[in-house]
Amino acid sequence: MSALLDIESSAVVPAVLPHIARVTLPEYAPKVLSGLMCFPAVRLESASVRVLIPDFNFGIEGTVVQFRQDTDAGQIFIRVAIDANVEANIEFAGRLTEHESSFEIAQVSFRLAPTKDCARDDFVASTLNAALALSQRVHFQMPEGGLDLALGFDLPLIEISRLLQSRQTSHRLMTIERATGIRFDLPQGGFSGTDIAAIIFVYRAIVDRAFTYHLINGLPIVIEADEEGAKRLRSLQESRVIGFGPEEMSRQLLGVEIPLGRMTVKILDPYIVEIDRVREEVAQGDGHPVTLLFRSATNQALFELPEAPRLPPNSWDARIQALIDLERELDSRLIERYHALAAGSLAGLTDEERKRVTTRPQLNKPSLMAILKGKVGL
Amino acid sequence: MTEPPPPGTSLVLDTDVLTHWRTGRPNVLRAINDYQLEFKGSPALTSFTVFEVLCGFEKEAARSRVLLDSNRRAREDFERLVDGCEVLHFDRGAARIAAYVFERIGKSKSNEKWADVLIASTAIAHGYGLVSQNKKDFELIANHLPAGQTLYLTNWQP
Repeated sequence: MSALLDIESSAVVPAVLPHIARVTLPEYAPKVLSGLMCFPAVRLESASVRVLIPDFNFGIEGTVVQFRQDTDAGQIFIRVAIDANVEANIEFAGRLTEHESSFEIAQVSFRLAPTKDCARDDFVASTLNAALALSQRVHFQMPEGGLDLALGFDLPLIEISRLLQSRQTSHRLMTIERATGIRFDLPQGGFSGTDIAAIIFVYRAIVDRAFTYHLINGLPIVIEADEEGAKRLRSLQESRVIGFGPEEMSRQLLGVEIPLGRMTVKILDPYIVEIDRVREEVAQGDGHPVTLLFRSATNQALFELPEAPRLPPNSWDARIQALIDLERELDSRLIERYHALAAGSLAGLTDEERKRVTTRPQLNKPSLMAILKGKVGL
Repeated sequence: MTEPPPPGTSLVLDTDVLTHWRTGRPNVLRAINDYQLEFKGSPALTSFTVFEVLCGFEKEAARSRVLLDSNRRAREDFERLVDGCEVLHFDRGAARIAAYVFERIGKSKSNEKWADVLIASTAIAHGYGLVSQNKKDFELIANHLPAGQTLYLTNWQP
């Protein structure tokens, strides 16, 4: 077995990464907060639409590509091209005013989704959906229609979190595509732990070039059971870092082989598995090969891939760059909501009450058995 | 055996760390911020931890006979927090691990540490690392795991 195979099979086992399902983009029913609620009953194909998200100091403009009006049913539908392959479908429910010159909006439904299944479009759609959900107020304007609505979007935190995970994966894939010139088809059913591990690994090789990553199974070195082998074993035991390579490296990513150039792996906090057995074997002195398995006590190694593909300068157009730049704000707004709920779960309680509600229940073994038998649902 | 979670490992909170989050302990808030940057969400909870916290609220409700507004609002926020987290269930895989440990850890320990056994088993069965400040007890549990199973444990100490 070549050293390359050793490194590849051992170093990148994604044993700890869970499957990530493709996110279902939300269908919002935003609250109409304020603003002009009259919608002129004129045809608005090709009209421009602005979506302004003041909390993020961000706005995006699109064009109406379809306008449909059903006066009897009190519905207006517009489809807006937000990006090359991302559209917003918006339905207004309400009624025409007495003079039939405008439409009084009572309810809105809103869905923003890609029309193609590729990383860039998924990135745009998941970023915008997350930004809408994390904003207090979003303005939806159609200057030609005299429309300026303030809408309040709402989404459970877990769904916002999944949008941000989807955004992160798409951003990484988009980066890999840009650096390698390869286009990936996104898997319909979601990303396996192996997919996610490969995406992270290749992305970091491109962006960081030297990075710490998990190393679970360890890497082998073969020495001989003789005096020279014993000397080498002592020297290896004293090493703080054990290096492997350089070897040519490539990773299989969504069915495509990505060449990454030569790779060096340095095991951090190394130790030799079953060192006593190894010592005994080497002490036999008969020259037979002895395999040492190096693992990391902290399950990590430094991976260096200086020849990995590079992201060209100015890789992104202004719109994508602006969406990339929203990351910090998106993260910070989401986590603040989590912290607020965590703090709220003890808010308003006296110190005594807090102490009581946070004391873990004292149960004995029979109580546990009752729980496990389903008397208490878990 | 316990090992530090490899980089990139999803984490689940033990009940004690969840309590520190709720009381706003700075090191836990910082660690959760860092976790969010990497994983784009909150650490997970086990269904057993949810049970333990709900017991706290139920204890108050039973004690005061009527549910006080403050208690009700606090509980609602907790329920919404749980809605926002992945909740790892005590499933068949976890049951196998827990049963194995339970019958090997010793009678007094199994009486005393059963909650921790269920939480550790759930974390392992789902491939998550566990954040707990109760290192000693979880190391004891980890010493009685079935062959080939590892508990990835970290404590987020300040």
